[in-house]
Amino acid sequence: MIDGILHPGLILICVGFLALAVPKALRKVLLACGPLVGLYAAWQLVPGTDIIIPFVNDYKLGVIFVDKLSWIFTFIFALMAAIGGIYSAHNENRMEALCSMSYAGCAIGVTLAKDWLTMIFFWEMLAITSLFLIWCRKTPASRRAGFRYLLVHMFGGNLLLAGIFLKISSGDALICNLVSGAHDYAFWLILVGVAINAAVPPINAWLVDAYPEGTITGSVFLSSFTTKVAVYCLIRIFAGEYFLMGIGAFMALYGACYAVIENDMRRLLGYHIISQVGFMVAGAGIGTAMALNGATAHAFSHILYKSLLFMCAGAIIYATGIRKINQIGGLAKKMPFVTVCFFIAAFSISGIPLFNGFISKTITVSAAQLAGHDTIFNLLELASVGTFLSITLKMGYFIFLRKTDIDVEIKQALPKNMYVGMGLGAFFCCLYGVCPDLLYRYLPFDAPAYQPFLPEHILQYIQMLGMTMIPFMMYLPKMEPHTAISLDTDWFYRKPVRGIIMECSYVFCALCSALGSAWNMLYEKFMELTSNPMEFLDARPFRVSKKYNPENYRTSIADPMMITLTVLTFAIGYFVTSM
Amino acid sequence: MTEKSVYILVGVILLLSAVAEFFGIHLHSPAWWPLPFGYNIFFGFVGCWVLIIAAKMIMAPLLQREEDYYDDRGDDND
Repeated sequence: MIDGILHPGLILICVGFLALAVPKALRKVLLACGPLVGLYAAWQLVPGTDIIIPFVNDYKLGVIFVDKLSWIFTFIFALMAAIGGIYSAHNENRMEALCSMSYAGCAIGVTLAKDWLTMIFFWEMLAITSLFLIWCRKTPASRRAGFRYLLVHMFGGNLLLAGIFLKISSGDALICNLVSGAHDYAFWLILVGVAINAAVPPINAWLVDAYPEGTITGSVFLSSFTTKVAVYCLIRIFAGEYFLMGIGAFMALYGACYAVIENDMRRLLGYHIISQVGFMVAGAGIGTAMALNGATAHAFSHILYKSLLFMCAGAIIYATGIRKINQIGGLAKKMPFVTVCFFIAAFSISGIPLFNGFISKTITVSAAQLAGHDTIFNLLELASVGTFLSITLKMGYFIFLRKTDIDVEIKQALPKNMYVGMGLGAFFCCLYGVCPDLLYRYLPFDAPAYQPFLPEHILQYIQMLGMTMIPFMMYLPKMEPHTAISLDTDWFYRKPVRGIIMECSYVFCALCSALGSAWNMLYEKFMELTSNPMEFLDARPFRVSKKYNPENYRTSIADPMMITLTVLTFAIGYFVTSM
Repeated sequence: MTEKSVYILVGVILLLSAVAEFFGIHLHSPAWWPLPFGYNIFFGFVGCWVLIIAAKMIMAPLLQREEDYYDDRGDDND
């Protein structure tokens, strides 16, 4: 507590550490109820709150800065931590409990940061906690994916750090919009650092590589925070940066196309994170108040429906042990509750009226149209078609509705808390879809009131998405995904760069070995010579052996005896003659 | 639900929406091109085919590999 204000992020981190310490039975209660304290603290924050604590060298840390933008992101992060906490309450891994709660807490820490230093501290902690969340699965695949995740995020984090150093050294300690200023090194370093966390291509593959390798419950958290924190930073720091618009539209289509061919449930959902974040990046790039509200609202909705989709996928994997779409089918009868929740989330992400994706996605799309960006508008609409095609139609049909010979066995029943978590997610998707004003009243930018339920909007989406079903039905026999993986930009560092590094390692190892042998030879020769200095003194050219043999250098006993006798003879002679 | 019934359901929905568009609901846009009758139906149909062709016929042959393509388990010391 600082000046009577509770930091919701620190509360969640404390919940994580408590969960690490308490026994199993208490941990369940703590995970289910602890994040509610954080949610309460987030709700209690008032825009205008600005808490500063002193740091070294008269530097001040702005640890809680609340405006409308940071408030809404803090609230949805805290809400997601509460839902995720309930969904993962059965989890016996105490390390995962610590990581998931700390991860959510660090996301809030970035959101509430006022200055660059506080931001980078929580930013790096965000990367570390999410890394351990991936490693909590404890499989070789998750460990390797975790190292690749670490590689990318340390790269991005260091770029951001370098940019922040430049900013602070030039006297700009506070986070602000950089678009209107000079596009200097600091600008580009911070932009690339943030863009990497937003999974902007070409550095996007870490997301679909690492998130599916997390634990069932960990992936729910992973899907909600890192990219949305980056979206928050893009809105806060880079709102109105023109080229983000094109990048966002490209992302939206990129993810949607990959999702059409993907076979792994959670990889498919990972591609749709990229696609949906593309809508938000485009909204940040358009930069009008309406578009920024659209990006904010879509981040809010996206966290709810995407986490619900990951919860449903996790529930299927938990119950069946299967994660590939082509190995599963006909689950609607075996898992009816999961089916209902999945379709609520799928309708939401597709932008079907009365679900929360519709009330947020259409703001950004309409903003693009009103701002005269026709190409962006069409690309985003096309991405909406792709989302409906790959999630509602493809996943919905092949996982839940199709009649198949595959007999999927339900190996273990879902814990009750997972049902509650999914139920809460579905409830909020419907609630905000039916009552959009519950969200719109908190949107941060002053834009004319948006009316989502205009007949023309509803008609537009019914016609567009309804017609999408026809090509799907026509192409249905070939729509089933195959047992294959899709190469993405991680191919570069998993194949050629890895090969180059391996080859370089071999060359350096060989070089090192050769140098070692040469040095060893030199050393032995030196030792041999220094152990026998006579080698230098004795210049005999035709020595038989170089080995030191003391007999070769020991003088004969005859010589001293001869000398002694000679001296004695002379002495006796001298003595006799002198007498 | 059979394939035929899906086609009928989609057909009925689209027909009703087309009737609503023709008789009552007017679209608004700063540009002229989204306004012609049936534009969204056309966009949904063509857009979906574009995505299917791009993904299934271009990306899949180019980018999909066997699941053990990145098989680097040999590096594990487990």
